[in-house]
Amino acid sequence: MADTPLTAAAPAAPAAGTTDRPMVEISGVCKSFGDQQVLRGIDLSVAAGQVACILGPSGSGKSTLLRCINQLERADDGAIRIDGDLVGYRVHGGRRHPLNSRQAARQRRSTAMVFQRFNLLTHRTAVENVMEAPVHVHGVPRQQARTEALELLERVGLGDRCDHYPAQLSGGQQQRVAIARALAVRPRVLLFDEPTSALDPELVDEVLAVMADLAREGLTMLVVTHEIAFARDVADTVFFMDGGVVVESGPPARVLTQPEHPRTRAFLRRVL
Amino acid sequence: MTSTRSRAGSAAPADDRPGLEPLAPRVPWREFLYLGVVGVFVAMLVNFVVTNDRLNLPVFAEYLFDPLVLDGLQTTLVLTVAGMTGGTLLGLVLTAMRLSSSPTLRSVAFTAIYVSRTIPLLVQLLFWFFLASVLPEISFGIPFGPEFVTLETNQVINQLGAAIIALSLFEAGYMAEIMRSGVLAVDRGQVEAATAMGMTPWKVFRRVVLPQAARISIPPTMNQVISILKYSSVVILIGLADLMFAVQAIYSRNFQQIPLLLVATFWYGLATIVLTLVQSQLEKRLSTGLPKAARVRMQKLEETPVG
Repeated sequence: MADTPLTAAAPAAPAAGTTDRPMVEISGVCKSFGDQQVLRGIDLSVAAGQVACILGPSGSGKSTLLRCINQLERADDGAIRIDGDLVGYRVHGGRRHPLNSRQAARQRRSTAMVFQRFNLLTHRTAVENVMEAPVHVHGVPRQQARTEALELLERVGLGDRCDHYPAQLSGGQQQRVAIARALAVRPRVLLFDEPTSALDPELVDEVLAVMADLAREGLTMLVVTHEIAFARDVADTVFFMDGGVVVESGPPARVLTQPEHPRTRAFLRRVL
Repeated sequence: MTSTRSRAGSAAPADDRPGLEPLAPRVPWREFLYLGVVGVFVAMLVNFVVTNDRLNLPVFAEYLFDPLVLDGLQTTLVLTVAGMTGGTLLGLVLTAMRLSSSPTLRSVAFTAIYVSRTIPLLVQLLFWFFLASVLPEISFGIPFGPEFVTLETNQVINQLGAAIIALSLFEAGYMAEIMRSGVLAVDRGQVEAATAMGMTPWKVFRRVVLPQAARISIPPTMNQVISILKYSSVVILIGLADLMFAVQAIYSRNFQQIPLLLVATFWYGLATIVLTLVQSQLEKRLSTGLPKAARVRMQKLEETPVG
Protein backbone atom coordinates (compact mmCIF):
# COMPACT_ATOMS: atom_id res chain seq x y z
CA MET A 1 0.00 0.00 0.00
CA ALA A 2 2.92 2.27 0.58
CA ASP A 3 3.90 1.47 -2.97
CA THR A 4 1.08 3.43 -4.51
CA PRO A 5 2.64 5.15 -7.50
CA LEU A 6 2.94 8.89 -7.35
CA THR A 7 0.80 9.40 -10.41
CA ALA A 8 -2.18 7.99 -8.56
CA ALA A 9 -2.10 10.99 -6.26
CA ALA A 10 -4.30 13.57 -7.89
CA PRO A 11 -2.18 16.71 -7.74
CA ALA A 12 -4.91 19.22 -7.31
CA ALA A 13 -8.42 18.06 -6.71
CA PRO A 14 -10.91 20.52 -8.17
CA ALA A 15 -11.43 23.35 -5.76
CA ALA A 16 -15.16 22.86 -6.05
CA GLY A 17 -16.13 21.67 -2.60
CA THR A 18 -14.13 19.36 -0.41
CA THR A 19 -15.06 15.76 0.07
CA ASP A 20 -15.51 14.16 3.45
CA ARG A 21 -12.83 11.60 2.71
CA PRO A 22 -10.26 12.07 5.48
CA MET A 23 -6.80 12.71 4.01
CA VAL A 24 -4.99 12.91 7.35
CA GLU A 25 -6.26 11.04 10.37
CA ILE A 26 -4.43 11.20 13.66
CA SER A 27 -5.55 9.30 16.73
CA GLY A 28 -4.01 9.12 20.15
CA VAL A 29 -0.54 10.26 19.06
CA CYS A 30 1.97 10.62 21.91
CA LYS A 31 5.60 11.64 21.74
CA SER A 32 8.22 12.24 24.42
CA PHE A 33 11.74 13.55 24.22
CA GLY A 34 13.42 12.05 27.29
CA ASP A 35 11.33 13.04 30.31
CA GLN A 36 9.44 15.70 28.45
CA GLN A 37 6.12 14.62 27.04
CA VAL A 38 5.53 16.82 23.99
CA LEU A 39 2.39 15.20 22.58
CA ARG A 40 -0.17 13.71 24.98
CA GLY A 41 -2.72 11.98 22.80
CA ILE A 42 -3.51 14.04 19.72
CA ASP A 43 -6.67 13.35 17.75
CA LEU A 44 -7.44 15.25 14.60
CA SER A 45 -8.67 14.70 11.10
CA VAL A 46 -8.32 16.75 7.94
CA ALA A 47 -10.53 16.04 4.94
CA ALA A 48 -9.10 15.91 1.42
CA GLY A 49 -8.77 19.35 -0.12
CA GLN A 50 -9.06 21.15 3.19
CA VAL A 51 -6.72 23.61 4.83
CA ALA A 52 -6.10 23.09 8.53
CA CYS A 53 -4.23 25.63 10.60
CA ILE A 54 -2.63 24.54 13.83
CA LEU A 55 -2.23 27.38 16.29
CA GLY A 56 -0.81 27.48 19.75
CA PRO A 57 1.97 28.83 21.92
CA SER A 58 5.60 27.82 21.40
CA GLY A 59 6.40 24.43 22.86
CA SER A 60 2.84 23.17 22.54
CA GLY A 61 3.98 20.37 20.20
CA LYS A 62 2.71 21.76 16.89
CA SER A 63 5.95 21.24 14.96
CA THR A 64 6.54 17.84 16.53
CA LEU A 65 3.10 16.72 15.37
CA LEU A 66 3.88 17.84 11.84
CA ARG A 67 7.23 16.04 11.94
CA CYS A 68 5.52 12.85 13.10
CA ILE A 69 3.26 12.99 10.05
CA ASN A 70 6.21 12.76 7.64
CA GLN A 71 8.28 10.55 9.93
CA LEU A 72 11.03 13.01 10.72
CA GLU A 73 10.07 11.90 14.24
CA ARG A 74 8.52 8.59 15.21
CA ALA A 75 5.43 8.81 17.42
CA ASP A 76 5.71 6.73 20.60
CA ASP A 77 2.06 5.78 20.54
CA GLY A 78 -1.08 6.25 18.49
CA ALA A 79 -1.71 6.01 14.77
CA ILE A 80 -1.34 8.41 11.84
CA ARG A 81 -2.99 7.64 8.51
CA ILE A 82 -2.51 9.48 5.24
CA ASP A 83 -5.20 8.73 2.69
CA GLY A 84 -5.90 5.53 4.59
CA ASP A 85 -2.26 4.33 4.72
CA LEU A 86 -0.81 3.74 8.17
CA VAL A 87 2.28 5.94 8.55
CA GLY A 88 5.56 4.39 9.66
CA TYR A 89 4.36 0.81 10.05
CA ARG A 90 3.46 -2.26 8.07
CA VAL A 91 0.81 -4.49 9.57
CA HIS A 92 1.66 -8.15 9.26
CA GLY A 93 0.35 -11.13 11.20
CA GLY A 94 -1.66 -8.94 13.54
CA ARG A 95 1.38 -6.87 14.57
CA ARG A 96 2.83 -3.53 13.54
CA HIS A 97 6.35 -3.68 12.12
CA PRO A 98 8.26 -0.40 11.84
CA LEU A 99 9.16 0.44 8.25
CA ASN A 100 12.84 0.30 7.35
CA SER A 101 14.49 3.46 6.07
CA ARG A 102 13.86 2.59 2.42
CA GLN A 103 10.15 1.92 2.98
CA ALA A 104 9.82 5.05 5.09
CA ALA A 105 11.47 7.08 2.32
CA ARG A 106 8.95 5.67 -0.14
CA GLN A 107 6.05 6.56 2.11
CA ARG A 108 7.32 10.11 2.61
CA ARG A 109 6.72 10.75 -1.08
CA SER A 110 3.03 11.32 -0.37
CA THR A 111 3.80 14.41 1.71
CA ALA A 112 5.96 17.47 1.23
CA MET A 113 7.14 19.90 3.85
CA VAL A 114 7.95 23.59 3.93
CA PHE A 115 10.26 24.46 6.80
CA GLN A 116 10.57 27.50 9.00
CA ARG A 117 14.20 28.02 7.94
CA PHE A 118 13.57 27.18 4.25
CA ASN A 119 16.28 24.48 4.23
CA LEU A 120 17.10 24.87 0.55
CA LEU A 121 20.15 22.99 -0.66
CA THR A 122 22.76 25.74 -0.63
CA HIS A 123 24.95 24.19 -3.33
CA ARG A 124 22.13 24.09 -5.89
CA THR A 125 20.31 26.87 -7.74
CA ALA A 126 16.62 27.62 -7.28
CA VAL A 127 15.57 25.54 -10.27
CA GLU A 128 17.90 22.69 -9.26
CA ASN A 129 16.34 22.71 -5.80
CA VAL A 130 12.89 22.33 -7.33
CA MET A 131 14.10 19.58 -9.71
CA GLU A 132 15.95 17.62 -7.04
CA ALA A 133 13.10 15.42 -5.78
CA PRO A 134 11.38 14.82 -9.15
CA VAL A 135 14.66 13.75 -10.76
CA HIS A 136 16.37 11.93 -7.91
CA VAL A 137 13.40 10.48 -6.04
CA HIS A 138 10.68 10.05 -8.64
CA GLY A 139 12.86 9.39 -11.69
CA VAL A 140 11.34 12.11 -13.85
CA PRO A 141 13.57 12.84 -16.90
CA ARG A 142 15.75 15.92 -16.38
CA GLN A 143 14.33 17.97 -19.25
CA GLN A 144 10.74 17.39 -18.20
CA ALA A 145 11.57 18.08 -14.56
CA ARG A 146 13.26 21.33 -15.55
CA THR A 147 10.31 22.49 -17.59
CA GLU A 148 7.94 21.73 -14.73
CA ALA A 149 10.26 23.35 -12.21
CA LEU A 150 10.40 26.54 -14.27
CA GLU A 151 6.59 26.58 -14.43
CA LEU A 152 6.38 26.19 -10.67
CA LEU A 153 8.90 28.98 -10.09
CA GLU A 154 6.87 31.14 -12.45
CA ARG A 155 3.80 30.30 -10.42
CA VAL A 156 5.38 31.49 -7.15
CA GLY A 157 6.56 34.62 -8.94
CA LEU A 158 10.24 33.70 -9.27
CA GLY A 159 10.55 32.95 -12.99
CA ASP A 160 13.44 35.41 -13.24
CA ARG A 161 15.34 33.99 -10.27
CA CYS A 162 15.66 30.37 -11.36
CA ASP A 163 19.45 30.34 -11.72
CA HIS A 164 20.15 32.10 -8.44
CA TYR A 165 21.68 30.26 -5.53
CA PRO A 166 19.77 30.40 -2.23
CA ALA A 167 22.38 32.75 -0.77
CA GLN A 168 21.50 35.27 -3.52
CA LEU A 169 17.78 35.29 -2.64
CA SER A 170 15.87 37.08 0.10
CA GLY A 171 14.15 35.08 2.82
CA GLY A 172 10.75 35.47 1.20
CA GLN A 173 12.12 34.38 -2.18
CA GLN A 174 13.85 31.38 -0.61
CA GLN A 175 10.64 30.34 1.07
CA ARG A 176 8.74 30.61 -2.22
CA VAL A 177 11.38 28.41 -3.87
CA ALA A 178 10.84 25.97 -1.00
CA ILE A 179 7.09 25.99 -1.70
CA ALA A 180 7.74 25.34 -5.40
CA ARG A 181 10.04 22.51 -4.37
CA ALA A 182 7.30 21.03 -2.20
CA LEU A 183 4.77 21.26 -5.03
CA ALA A 184 7.12 19.63 -7.52
CA VAL A 185 6.46 16.15 -6.13
CA ARG A 186 2.66 16.60 -6.33
CA PRO A 187 2.13 15.65 -2.71
CA ARG A 188 -1.18 14.46 -1.35
CA VAL A 189 -0.58 16.56 1.74
CA LEU A 190 1.46 19.75 2.09
CA LEU A 191 2.93 20.39 5.52
CA PHE A 192 3.95 23.93 6.51
CA ASP A 193 6.05 24.33 9.66
CA GLU A 194 5.84 28.01 10.64
CA PRO A 195 6.67 29.08 7.07
CA THR A 196 6.73 32.81 7.82
CA SER A 197 8.28 32.88 11.28
CA ALA A 198 11.83 33.46 10.04
CA LEU A 199 10.88 36.23 7.63
CA ASP A 200 11.11 40.00 7.85
CA PRO A 201 7.62 41.45 8.38
CA GLU A 202 7.38 42.90 4.87
CA LEU A 203 8.31 39.57 3.28
CA VAL A 204 5.60 37.61 5.09
CA ASP A 205 2.79 38.67 2.79
CA GLU A 206 4.37 37.41 -0.45
CA VAL A 207 4.66 33.93 1.07
CA LEU A 208 1.15 33.95 2.56
CA ALA A 209 -0.27 35.05 -0.81
CA VAL A 210 1.28 32.02 -2.53
CA MET A 211 -0.10 29.74 0.20
CA ALA A 212 -3.58 31.23 -0.12
CA ASP A 213 -3.44 30.53 -3.88
CA LEU A 214 -2.59 26.89 -3.22
CA ALA A 215 -5.47 26.62 -0.76
CA ARG A 216 -7.87 27.86 -3.42
CA GLU A 217 -6.61 25.18 -5.79
CA GLY A 218 -7.78 22.51 -3.41
CA LEU A 219 -4.54 21.14 -2.00
CA THR A 220 -4.75 19.46 1.38
CA MET A 221 -2.63 21.59 3.67
CA LEU A 222 -1.60 21.40 7.32
CA VAL A 223 -0.20 24.73 8.39
CA VAL A 224 1.48 25.38 11.72
CA THR A 225 1.49 29.15 12.00
CA HIS A 226 1.24 32.21 14.18
CA GLU A 227 -0.51 34.19 11.42
CA ILE A 228 -4.01 34.47 12.85
CA ALA A 229 -5.24 36.52 9.90
CA PHE A 230 -4.14 33.80 7.50
CA ALA A 231 -5.94 31.17 9.58
CA ARG A 232 -9.08 33.29 9.64
CA ASP A 233 -9.12 33.96 5.89
CA VAL A 234 -7.82 30.69 4.44
CA ALA A 235 -8.32 27.79 6.85
CA ASP A 236 -11.30 25.46 6.78
CA THR A 237 -10.52 24.20 10.25
CA VAL A 238 -8.43 25.60 13.06
CA PHE A 239 -6.85 23.41 15.73
CA PHE A 240 -5.63 25.11 18.86
CA MET A 241 -2.91 23.16 20.68
CA ASP A 242 -1.57 23.67 24.16
CA GLY A 243 0.55 21.43 26.38
CA GLY A 244 0.59 18.58 23.89
CA VAL A 245 -3.15 18.26 23.31
CA VAL A 246 -5.70 19.78 20.95
CA VAL A 247 -7.60 22.10 23.26
CA GLU A 248 -10.14 23.35 20.80
CA SER A 249 -10.97 22.94 17.14
CA GLY A 250 -13.53 24.04 14.60
CA PRO A 251 -14.12 26.52 11.80
CA PRO A 252 -12.00 29.67 12.17
CA ALA A 253 -15.06 31.87 12.39
CA ARG A 254 -15.98 30.21 15.66
CA VAL A 255 -12.62 29.28 17.21
CA LEU A 256 -11.02 32.63 16.49
CA THR A 257 -13.94 34.89 17.35
CA GLN A 258 -15.80 32.98 20.07
CA PRO A 259 -13.26 30.66 21.63
CA GLU A 260 -14.74 28.44 24.31
CA HIS A 261 -11.59 27.34 26.07
CA PRO A 262 -9.96 29.88 28.43
CA ARG A 263 -6.52 28.88 27.14
CA THR A 264 -7.51 29.72 23.57
CA ARG A 265 -9.00 33.00 24.70
CA ALA A 266 -5.84 33.97 26.58
CA PHE A 267 -3.65 33.12 23.58
CA LEU A 268 -5.78 35.01 21.07
CA ARG A 269 -5.91 38.06 23.33
CA ARG A 270 -2.14 38.14 23.29
CA VAL A 271 -1.58 37.71 19.55
CA LEU A 272 -4.46 39.75 18.15
CA MET B 1 44.99 78.36 7.44
CA THR B 2 46.92 79.87 4.55
CA SER B 3 49.73 77.34 4.84
CA THR B 4 47.20 74.49 4.78
CA ARG B 5 45.65 75.83 1.64
CA SER B 6 48.96 76.31 -0.15
CA ARG B 7 49.99 72.75 0.73
CA ALA B 8 46.77 71.47 -0.78
CA GLY B 9 47.98 73.07 -4.01
CA SER B 10 45.90 72.50 -7.10
CA ALA B 11 43.67 69.88 -5.47
CA ALA B 12 39.92 70.39 -5.07
CA PRO B 13 38.94 73.75 -3.60
CA ALA B 14 39.82 73.55 0.04
CA ASP B 15 37.15 73.99 2.65
CA ASP B 16 37.85 76.59 5.30
CA ARG B 17 35.70 75.01 7.94
CA PRO B 18 37.76 73.50 10.78
CA GLY B 19 37.86 69.71 10.65
CA LEU B 20 37.66 69.64 6.86
CA GLU B 21 41.28 70.57 6.10
CA PRO B 22 42.86 68.44 3.33
CA LEU B 23 44.39 65.12 4.34
CA ALA B 24 48.14 65.16 4.88
CA PRO B 25 49.93 62.46 2.86
CA ARG B 26 50.65 59.39 4.94
CA VAL B 27 54.23 58.20 5.15
CA PRO B 28 54.43 54.46 6.02
CA TRP B 29 57.35 54.82 8.42
CA ARG B 30 56.59 51.55 10.09
CA GLU B 31 56.63 49.69 6.79
CA PHE B 32 60.06 51.21 6.01
CA LEU B 33 61.34 49.98 9.36
CA TYR B 34 60.13 46.42 8.74
CA LEU B 35 61.57 46.47 5.22
CA GLY B 36 64.89 47.69 6.54
CA VAL B 37 65.17 44.95 9.16
CA VAL B 38 64.10 42.24 6.73
CA GLY B 39 66.48 43.64 4.11
CA VAL B 40 69.44 43.32 6.48
CA PHE B 41 68.62 39.68 7.20
CA VAL B 42 68.18 38.88 3.50
CA ALA B 43 71.50 40.57 2.74
CA MET B 44 73.20 38.50 5.45
CA LEU B 45 71.74 35.30 4.02
CA VAL B 46 72.77 36.15 0.46
CA ASN B 47 76.24 37.09 1.66
CA PHE B 48 76.51 33.78 3.53
CA VAL B 49 75.44 31.77 0.49
CA VAL B 50 77.54 33.63 -2.07
CA THR B 51 80.80 34.04 -0.16
CA ASN B 52 80.82 30.67 1.57
CA ASP B 53 82.92 28.17 -0.37
CA ARG B 54 82.11 25.38 2.07
CA LEU B 55 78.44 25.51 1.04
CA ASN B 56 79.50 24.03 -2.27
CA LEU B 57 76.51 24.98 -4.40
CA PRO B 58 77.80 23.18 -7.50
CA VAL B 59 77.22 19.95 -5.58
CA PHE B 60 73.56 20.95 -5.19
CA ALA B 61 73.24 21.40 -8.94
CA GLU B 62 75.13 18.21 -9.63
CA TYR B 63 72.84 15.98 -7.56
CA LEU B 64 69.52 17.75 -8.14
CA PHE B 65 68.62 15.41 -11.00
CA ASP B 66 70.71 12.45 -9.90
CA PRO B 67 68.93 9.17 -10.81
CA LEU B 68 69.16 8.01 -7.19
CA VAL B 69 67.45 11.19 -6.04
CA LEU B 70 64.75 10.98 -8.71
CA ASP B 71 64.04 7.34 -7.87
CA GLY B 72 63.78 8.29 -4.22
CA LEU B 73 61.40 11.13 -5.07
CA GLN B 74 59.25 8.67 -6.99
CA THR B 75 59.10 6.34 -3.98
CA THR B 76 58.15 9.26 -1.73
CA LEU B 77 55.33 10.24 -4.08
CA VAL B 78 54.11 6.64 -4.34
CA LEU B 79 54.07 6.36 -0.54
CA THR B 80 52.17 9.65 -0.22
CA VAL B 81 49.54 8.74 -2.78
CA ALA B 82 49.12 5.15 -1.56
CA GLY B 83 49.09 6.14 2.12
CA MET B 84 46.58 8.92 1.57
CA THR B 85 44.33 6.76 -0.61
CA GLY B 86 44.37 3.91 1.90
CA GLY B 87 43.91 6.31 4.79
CA THR B 88 41.03 8.15 3.12
CA LEU B 89 39.14 4.97 2.18
CA LEU B 90 39.63 3.47 5.63
CA GLY B 91 38.74 6.82 7.18
CA LEU B 92 35.54 6.99 5.17
CA VAL B 93 34.50 3.57 6.48
CA LEU B 94 35.39 4.62 10.05
CA THR B 95 33.40 7.86 9.69
CA ALA B 96 30.35 6.00 8.43
CA MET B 97 30.62 3.60 11.36
CA ARG B 98 31.22 6.40 13.85
CA LEU B 99 28.06 8.18 12.69
CA SER B 100 25.93 5.04 12.40
CA SER B 101 23.01 4.31 14.70
CA SER B 102 24.50 0.98 15.78
CA PRO B 103 26.28 1.19 19.15
CA THR B 104 28.49 -1.76 18.19
CA LEU B 105 29.77 -0.13 15.00
CA ARG B 106 30.20 3.19 16.82
CA SER B 107 32.39 1.62 19.53
CA VAL B 108 34.47 -0.28 16.98
CA ALA B 109 35.10 2.94 15.03
CA PHE B 110 35.86 4.89 18.20
CA THR B 111 38.42 2.29 19.27
CA ALA B 112 39.98 2.06 15.81
CA ILE B 113 40.35 5.84 15.57
CA TYR B 114 41.83 5.93 19.07
CA VAL B 115 44.37 3.22 18.23
CA SER B 116 45.24 4.81 14.87
CA ARG B 117 45.94 8.16 16.45
CA THR B 118 47.70 6.78 19.51
CA ILE B 119 50.47 4.64 18.03
CA PRO B 120 53.33 6.75 16.67
CA LEU B 121 53.94 6.37 12.93
CA LEU B 122 57.42 5.05 13.54
CA VAL B 123 56.16 2.35 15.91
CA GLN B 124 53.48 1.27 13.42
CA LEU B 125 56.01 1.14 10.62
CA LEU B 126 58.38 -1.12 12.56
CA PHE B 127 55.48 -3.21 13.86
CA TRP B 128 54.27 -4.10 10.37
CA PHE B 129 57.81 -4.59 9.14
CA PHE B 130 58.58 -7.06 11.93
CA LEU B 131 55.15 -8.69 11.90
CA ALA B 132 56.59 -11.95 10.57
CA SER B 133 58.39 -12.53 13.87
CA VAL B 134 55.07 -13.08 15.66
CA LEU B 135 52.92 -14.14 12.69
CA PRO B 136 55.08 -16.12 10.27
CA GLU B 137 52.19 -17.12 8.03
CA ILE B 138 49.00 -15.41 6.92
CA SER B 139 46.12 -17.67 5.96
CA PHE B 140 42.72 -17.00 4.52
CA GLY B 141 39.88 -19.33 5.40
CA ILE B 142 37.05 -19.83 7.83
CA PRO B 143 37.96 -18.62 11.34
CA PHE B 144 38.79 -21.63 13.54
CA GLY B 145 37.96 -23.78 10.49
CA PRO B 146 39.70 -24.86 7.30
CA GLU B 147 42.24 -22.58 5.64
CA PHE B 148 42.23 -22.08 1.90
CA VAL B 149 45.31 -20.00 1.18
CA THR B 150 48.40 -19.74 3.32
CA LEU B 151 51.15 -17.23 2.56
CA GLU B 152 54.41 -16.35 4.19
CA THR B 153 54.08 -13.01 5.94
CA ASN B 154 57.44 -11.78 4.70
CA GLN B 155 56.36 -12.35 1.13
CA VAL B 156 53.09 -10.48 1.51
CA ILE B 157 54.48 -7.57 3.50
CA ASN B 158 57.77 -6.36 2.08
CA GLN B 159 59.31 -2.97 2.91
CA LEU B 160 56.99 -1.07 0.61
CA GLY B 161 53.97 -3.03 1.84
CA ALA B 162 54.81 -2.38 5.49
CA ALA B 163 55.28 1.33 4.76
CA ILE B 164 51.98 1.66 2.90
CA ILE B 165 50.05 -0.26 5.57
CA ALA B 166 51.60 1.84 8.34
CA LEU B 167 50.94 5.15 6.56
CA SER B 168 47.35 4.16 5.70
CA LEU B 169 46.51 3.06 9.24
CA PHE B 170 48.23 6.11 10.72
CA GLU B 171 46.30 8.39 8.36
CA ALA B 172 42.93 6.61 8.71
CA GLY B 173 42.22 7.96 12.20
CA TYR B 174 42.97 11.55 11.24
CA MET B 175 41.02 11.33 7.98
CA ALA B 176 38.04 9.77 9.78
CA GLU B 177 37.87 12.72 12.15
CA ILE B 178 38.35 15.25 9.33
CA MET B 179 35.51 13.73 7.33
CA ARG B 180 33.32 13.43 10.41
CA SER B 181 33.74 17.14 11.09
CA GLY B 182 32.82 17.80 7.45
CA VAL B 183 29.68 15.71 7.71
CA LEU B 184 28.65 17.29 11.00
CA ALA B 185 29.15 20.78 9.57
CA VAL B 186 26.45 20.21 6.94
CA ASP B 187 23.25 21.98 7.92
CA ARG B 188 20.81 19.56 9.63
CA GLY B 189 17.90 21.38 8.03
CA GLN B 190 19.07 20.45 4.54
CA VAL B 191 19.37 16.82 5.58
CA GLU B 192 15.82 16.94 6.95
CA ALA B 193 14.52 18.63 3.81
CA ALA B 194 16.08 15.94 1.63
CA THR B 195 14.71 13.22 3.91
CA ALA B 196 11.26 14.80 3.79
CA MET B 197 11.45 14.69 -0.02
CA GLY B 198 11.55 10.91 0.22
CA MET B 199 15.27 10.34 -0.34
CA THR B 200 16.77 7.22 1.19
CA PRO B 201 19.55 7.86 3.73
CA TRP B 202 22.18 6.81 1.19
CA LYS B 203 20.81 9.26 -1.38
CA VAL B 204 20.70 12.04 1.19
CA PHE B 205 24.33 11.33 1.91
CA ARG B 206 25.36 11.30 -1.74
CA ARG B 207 23.29 14.21 -3.01
CA VAL B 208 23.33 16.57 -0.03
CA VAL B 209 25.92 15.72 2.62
CA LEU B 210 28.89 14.55 0.55
CA PRO B 211 29.21 17.55 -1.83
CA GLN B 212 29.13 19.98 1.06
CA ALA B 213 31.23 17.89 3.46
CA ALA B 214 33.87 17.47 0.74
CA ARG B 215 34.24 21.23 0.37
CA ILE B 216 34.64 21.68 4.10
CA SER B 217 37.15 18.82 4.35
CA ILE B 218 39.53 19.99 1.61
CA PRO B 219 41.85 22.31 3.56
CA PRO B 220 42.48 19.89 6.47
CA THR B 221 42.81 16.98 4.02
CA MET B 222 45.44 18.81 2.00
CA ASN B 223 47.23 19.54 5.27
CA GLN B 224 47.38 15.78 5.81
CA VAL B 225 48.68 15.15 2.29
CA ILE B 226 51.43 17.70 2.73
CA SER B 227 52.46 16.37 6.12
CA ILE B 228 52.41 12.72 5.00
CA LEU B 229 54.63 13.73 2.07
CA LYS B 230 57.29 14.63 4.61
CA TYR B 231 56.48 12.16 7.43
CA SER B 232 56.91 9.35 4.92
CA SER B 233 60.66 9.88 5.28
CA VAL B 234 60.57 7.68 8.40
CA VAL B 235 60.65 4.72 6.00
CA ILE B 236 64.43 5.07 5.81
CA LEU B 237 64.42 3.20 9.13
CA ILE B 238 63.28 0.03 7.38
CA GLY B 239 65.66 0.64 4.49
CA LEU B 240 63.16 1.82 1.92
CA ALA B 241 64.83 4.06 -0.67
CA ASP B 242 62.76 7.24 -0.61
CA LEU B 243 63.99 10.78 -1.24
CA MET B 244 65.60 11.17 2.17
CA PHE B 245 67.22 7.75 1.86
CA ALA B 246 68.79 8.70 -1.48
CA VAL B 247 70.10 11.98 -0.15
CA GLN B 248 71.56 10.33 2.94
CA ALA B 249 73.13 7.58 0.87
CA ILE B 250 74.88 10.18 -1.27
CA TYR B 251 76.16 12.41 1.53
CA SER B 252 77.42 9.45 3.52
CA ARG B 253 79.81 8.90 0.61
CA ASN B 254 80.81 12.48 -0.24
CA PHE B 255 80.17 14.22 3.14
CA GLN B 256 78.32 17.10 1.43
CA GLN B 257 75.42 17.02 3.89
CA ILE B 258 74.06 20.55 3.51
CA PRO B 259 74.02 20.72 -0.32
CA LEU B 260 72.24 17.37 -0.44
CA LEU B 261 69.74 18.35 2.25
CA LEU B 262 69.02 21.37 0.05
CA VAL B 263 68.35 18.95 -2.82
CA ALA B 264 65.76 17.17 -0.65
CA THR B 265 64.30 20.50 0.43
CA PHE B 266 63.98 21.59 -3.18
CA TRP B 267 61.92 18.52 -4.16
CA TYR B 268 59.75 18.54 -1.03
CA GLY B 269 59.16 22.24 -1.63
CA LEU B 270 58.21 21.77 -5.27
CA ALA B 271 55.77 18.96 -4.40
CA THR B 272 54.19 21.13 -1.71
CA ILE B 273 53.72 24.03 -4.13
CA VAL B 274 52.02 21.73 -6.65
CA LEU B 275 49.73 20.37 -3.92
CA THR B 276 48.85 23.89 -2.80
CA LEU B 277 47.84 24.79 -6.36
CA VAL B 278 45.73 21.63 -6.59
CA GLN B 279 44.05 22.61 -3.33
CA SER B 280 43.03 26.09 -4.49
CA GLN B 281 41.68 24.65 -7.76
CA LEU B 282 39.62 22.08 -5.84
CA GLU B 283 38.28 24.72 -3.48
CA LYS B 284 37.27 26.93 -6.37
CA ARG B 285 35.52 24.08 -8.12
CA LEU B 286 33.56 23.04 -5.04
CA SER B 287 32.52 26.53 -3.95
CA THR B 288 29.21 26.46 -5.88
CA GLY B 289 26.44 28.29 -4.12
CA LEU B 290 28.68 29.97 -1.59
CA PRO B 291 27.50 33.53 -1.16
CA LYS B 292 29.23 35.77 -3.69
CA ALA B 293 30.64 37.87 -0.89
CA ALA B 294 32.30 34.81 0.61
CA ARG B 295 33.77 33.85 -2.75
CA VAL B 296 35.10 37.34 -3.40
CA ARG B 297 36.52 37.39 0.11
CA MET B 298 38.30 34.09 -0.53
CA GLN B 299 39.78 35.39 -3.77
CA LYS B 300 40.99 38.53 -2.03
CA LEU B 301 42.59 36.41 0.67
CA GLU B 302 44.40 34.45 -2.00
CA GLU B 303 45.57 37.57 -3.80
CA THR B 304 46.73 39.68 -0.88
CA PRO B 305 50.06 38.72 0.62
CA VAL B 306 49.94 37.84 4.29
CA GLY B 307 51.08 40.70 6.47
